[in-house]
Amino acid sequence: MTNALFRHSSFVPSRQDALKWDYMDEPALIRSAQRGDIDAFNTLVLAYQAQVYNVALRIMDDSAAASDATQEAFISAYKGLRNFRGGSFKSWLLRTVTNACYDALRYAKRRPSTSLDALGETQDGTAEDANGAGFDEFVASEAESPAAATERAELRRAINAGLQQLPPDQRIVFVLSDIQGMSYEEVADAMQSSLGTVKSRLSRARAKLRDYLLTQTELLHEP
Amino acid sequence: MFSLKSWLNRQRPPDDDEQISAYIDGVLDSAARKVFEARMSAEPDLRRRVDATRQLVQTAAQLPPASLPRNFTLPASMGKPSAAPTTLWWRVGSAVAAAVFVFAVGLDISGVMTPRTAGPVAAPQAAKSLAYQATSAPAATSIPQTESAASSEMAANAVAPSGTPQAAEPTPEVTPAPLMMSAAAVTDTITDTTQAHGGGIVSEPTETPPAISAKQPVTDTAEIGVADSAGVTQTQRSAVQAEPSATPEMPVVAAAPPAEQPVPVAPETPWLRIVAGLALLIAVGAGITGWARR
Repeated sequence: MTNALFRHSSFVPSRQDALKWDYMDEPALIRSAQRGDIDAFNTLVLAYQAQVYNVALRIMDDSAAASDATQEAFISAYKGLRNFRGGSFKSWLLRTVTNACYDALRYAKRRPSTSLDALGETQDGTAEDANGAGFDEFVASEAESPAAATERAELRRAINAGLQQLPPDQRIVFVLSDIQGMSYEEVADAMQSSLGTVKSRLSRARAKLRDYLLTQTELLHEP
Repeated sequence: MFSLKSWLNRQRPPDDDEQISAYIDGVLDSAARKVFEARMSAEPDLRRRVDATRQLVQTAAQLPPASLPRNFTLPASMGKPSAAPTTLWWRVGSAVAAAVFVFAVGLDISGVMTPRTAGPVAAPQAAKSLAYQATSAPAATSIPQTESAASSEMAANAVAPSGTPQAAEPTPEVTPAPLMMSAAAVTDTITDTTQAHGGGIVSEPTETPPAISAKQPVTDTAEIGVADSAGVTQTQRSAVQAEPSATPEMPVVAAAPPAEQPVPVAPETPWLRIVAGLALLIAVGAGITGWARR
């Protein structure tokens, strides 16, 4: 039996662990981890690491920096696990990773440097080369024609590029809400902001990104 | 080239984007949605922006996730999570200390607990207080209530119009010493007594007390402090103070008008500033500690 917690993870647990964890719900895992059970916490890590890493990657636009931020977030989350007082564990975890990304962005702003990933960027500067992680932009569904798949891939690359034009707070709201599909309330919880702030930042992020895409490409057109 | 459409776009209210976002997310109420849809029908540019935003949101939702470069599980050597959270207590302590600091500074600034100066009405009472402190002899404690008026009258008589020192007329009866002059009288009498006895201070009253001239109208606290620092004890002051009442020929010393002399009547409150400083230190320390533990 495969645990639903592992649907995002490339890690395949042993059959014994899968049977053990299958009957443990998230609150039980959290309580065990708070008592110092590192295996229980690693179960939570496996459940959320893909989402956490993707948020970090969208924010940082660099696979190495995103990996560092993700690892830092999980370490911070474990150290401060006793500060978790219920609520959405996912929001709490995403708050940790967004804070780690904020710190990394501030550090990068103070000490600008060129990453090795960026050095490996090809001349046309595609997003896939730039972030090195591979967003699988060119994966086309079976029902999609090659031309439509190419156009969609272009649009995704343009969105990735446009995201980096946004201020960090607007970028994070857009990533959490429109890419990760979180609700306003979850985003507000993750960012420790008010609902009005989230709505305002999201509308500004969407408007800026839309205007950027309209000026950069002709990909956004009337359906 | 001037474009009316561009100009109108720039003049558009700033909340258009928020309305577009809310409309796409379906969180506009029915009335607002109808108004917005009516606007969309009338404004093609608004409709175009709505459609473009909707397409952006739909595309962003379908962005494929990136594959993980590795697992982020923690090693067993991580140990246990940190001890019980104390961040809340640090915050509460910091807030309380900050409140105490603000309260103490507010009290200090408002002057509620700071030293006051006596006004025109309180001056005689302040002088009485000083005189009472300076004289502990029984004669000084049995001062009649009319002495303030008497002292004012005597002071007016003692000050000559030309400004030269002038001795007051000796009164045949025994009258209490003017209170406002008692401080100066204490100082001058002690000085003169000391000189008359070869620098020594005599505790018993002298039979012929030296005349107190008006050349040194000393009434303020500083000079009293000088007299105190010269080693004058309370008993000596009492003896000196008691003499004028027993010798009617004692001259009267001119004194400044009591209304113009501020006299401290309340002690200073350095403790308030100490409390404020401690509270500030605690607030800053707790804030830094709480921030570091976060």
